[in-house]
Amino acid sequence: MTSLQYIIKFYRAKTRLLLLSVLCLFCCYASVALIFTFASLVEQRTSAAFNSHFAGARYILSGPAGIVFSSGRLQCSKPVKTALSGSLSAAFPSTVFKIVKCDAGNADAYIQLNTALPQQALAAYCNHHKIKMLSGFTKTDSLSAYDGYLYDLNNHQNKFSIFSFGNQLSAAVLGTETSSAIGGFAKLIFFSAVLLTFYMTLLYFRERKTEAAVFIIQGYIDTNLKITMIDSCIQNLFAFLLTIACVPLILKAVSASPQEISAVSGGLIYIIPYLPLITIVQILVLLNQSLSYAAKFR
Amino acid sequence: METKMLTEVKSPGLLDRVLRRFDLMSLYFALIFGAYGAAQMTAEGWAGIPMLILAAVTFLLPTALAAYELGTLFPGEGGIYIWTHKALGPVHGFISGWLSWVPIFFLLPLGASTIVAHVELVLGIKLSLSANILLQSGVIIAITIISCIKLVFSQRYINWMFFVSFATAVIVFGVALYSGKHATPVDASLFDFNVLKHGAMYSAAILWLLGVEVPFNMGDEIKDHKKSAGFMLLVGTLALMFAYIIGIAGVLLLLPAGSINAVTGVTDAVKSISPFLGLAVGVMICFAVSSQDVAYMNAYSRLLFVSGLEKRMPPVMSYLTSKKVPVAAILVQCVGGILVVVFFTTQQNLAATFQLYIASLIVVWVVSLFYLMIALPLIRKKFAQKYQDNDSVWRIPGRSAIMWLVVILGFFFNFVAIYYVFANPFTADISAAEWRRWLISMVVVVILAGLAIFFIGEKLNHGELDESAQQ
Repeated sequence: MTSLQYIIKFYRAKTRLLLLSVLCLFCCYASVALIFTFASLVEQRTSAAFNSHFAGARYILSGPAGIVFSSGRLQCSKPVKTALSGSLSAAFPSTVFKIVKCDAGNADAYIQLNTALPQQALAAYCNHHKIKMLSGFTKTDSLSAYDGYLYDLNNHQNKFSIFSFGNQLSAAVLGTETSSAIGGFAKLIFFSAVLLTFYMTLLYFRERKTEAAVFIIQGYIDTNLKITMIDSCIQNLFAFLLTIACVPLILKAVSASPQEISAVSGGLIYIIPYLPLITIVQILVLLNQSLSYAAKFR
Repeated sequence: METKMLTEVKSPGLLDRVLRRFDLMSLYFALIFGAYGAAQMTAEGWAGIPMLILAAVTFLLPTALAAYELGTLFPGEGGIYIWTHKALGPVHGFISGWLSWVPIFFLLPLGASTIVAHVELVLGIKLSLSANILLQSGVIIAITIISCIKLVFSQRYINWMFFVSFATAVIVFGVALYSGKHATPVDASLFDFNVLKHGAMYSAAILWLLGVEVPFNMGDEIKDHKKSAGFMLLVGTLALMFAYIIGIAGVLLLLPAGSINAVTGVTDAVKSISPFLGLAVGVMICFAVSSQDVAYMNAYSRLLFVSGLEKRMPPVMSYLTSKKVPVAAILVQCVGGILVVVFFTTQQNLAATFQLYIASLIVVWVVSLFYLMIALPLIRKKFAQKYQDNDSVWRIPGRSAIMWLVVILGFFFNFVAIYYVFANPFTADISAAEWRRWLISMVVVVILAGLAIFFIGEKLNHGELDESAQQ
């Protein structure tokens, strides 16, 4: 009997268990898809907010620490040096830049410079005033070596780099993509699904443990591995395809917003790397169980 | 009587000795030489070459000598894990292995992202974020599949790619000579060995020379340890130094320093003279980097395999297929690699955090080398008889004085390497003070995680394991 025939025979005998296992895996994939769907949505909204906030800006000039936000307000802890704002006003006409003040206090939070600014004059200004021009990730000697940073918004690989490191990190820690109610729900489902899947995998193994132990003790290690791999691949692929088919329907039922529906396609692509990831984890759990169980008989 | 570790008793019977001299040399070359690395050492112009030579003498040489001596004295699977265990006991043994192993989680994603960057360059396209993630994950899976084939075959791939990788450096230098260009004029910095002036470059050179001790992780798979390892260290080091130097020279002759892309610089340089040859070099770098990742995957999985045998990790880690491949250990590395890709690539705001992550793993890797330097004198004292009884042991020549020189140099320049990682943030998005604070925290977390795994393993095994395999 080949490994595939063995698995099919097992599936026929334990159909209910198989379905339960696939259902748990489906929950895993579906929740990942939902999380990424909302991440895509938030990304769209962030981009829109970013573009409207910095409308018309080609460069942002900030203090060495970047733009600092706290509770949605522009902070003045690390503002642009007054001397820089003054020299900028003296060097360029006021039509090519806009000074943005902090929400509290009178300091300059950052300066927006628009596309009409002559490039060479800008480079000369930066050289003269210890301003580092950034158009990508560069290794720097020390931030304290400069009085300010000039970010090229057109060429910069990471639009978030104009914000302070603390702001960038807090966005990751708080998980903006899951801050909405449905996002939180997706996160909850995800953690429950991971636990359930783990539990189901152990339960599933209970039905197969004797055969697996016999295979290992008899030295058929590769056969055991092959069966485990094929089994996990089939289950995961099935659950994954089910997710692709169902998530748009679920979303439609939860929210009729066309914006969210259009974001689904983007979110679904991101779950593809999770297919090998979850499959491999399941294989490892099953293999570990097989070995531990076989060891009891040795 | 010498007490043997479980891995020393079990592993030789489980694995085949298939790595010959050339295999080991090409593995060593693949692990250390980055076909695109020359471009990263051009940031300060011609100073990259003296700093590379200085790093080879002060950092690579002491590490190689120490690893060669310990590797022939204890030629088992696990390398640094075994050496530290013998010198300092099980806790330090495991931690040194752990610190040496975790860098795989930046090496794999780094290789994958480099391949994707070159694919974009060769095809002349800019991939979307989702396509980028899919391709990077696909690269890691492809590398996993190659690594899961019998070691003889995956090693054959690394052997072939040795020539491809070496050829990229030869081509860029050849093209530079042919073109007669001097985009970066040769200046006095070519002979400037002032490490205080070019500290960042010296640090970068050290990072590109890390990994000397890694082939010894596969100790039980090496044929004729003393000769093979000697050949690997001598010929391999000469080959990689030659390739780096001509690579750096070629890139600098073709492109002006300061405008060179750190990842695709080698390809860009060749492309500036011959677009067709440039594309060919881009494709060659993709293959060379993939073989580098296969080498990482194979060599690092052995540390996990040994941890499984030693019962510090779940037993599945020591699961071998009939082809003698530690498939579970390789799969764990694959999962970790994909997770890092997915986590960091999907969130743009984690770009600075990713730089911190890379830096912390580099620090952790260098910290593991302190164990090598601590282990050497202790083992000499503890196992003096073993040196005399065993002809296959290579000993650092010149009695103890040279050994102590190696240890002192090793210690000092490990410190220097770590100092520069702390001194210079890899990104402009974070202040130096914040960078250092976060770096220390992340390194401490990695070390604490290792300790937690060790003590959990110890508790689960009821402390029965240590020295359980006495002979």
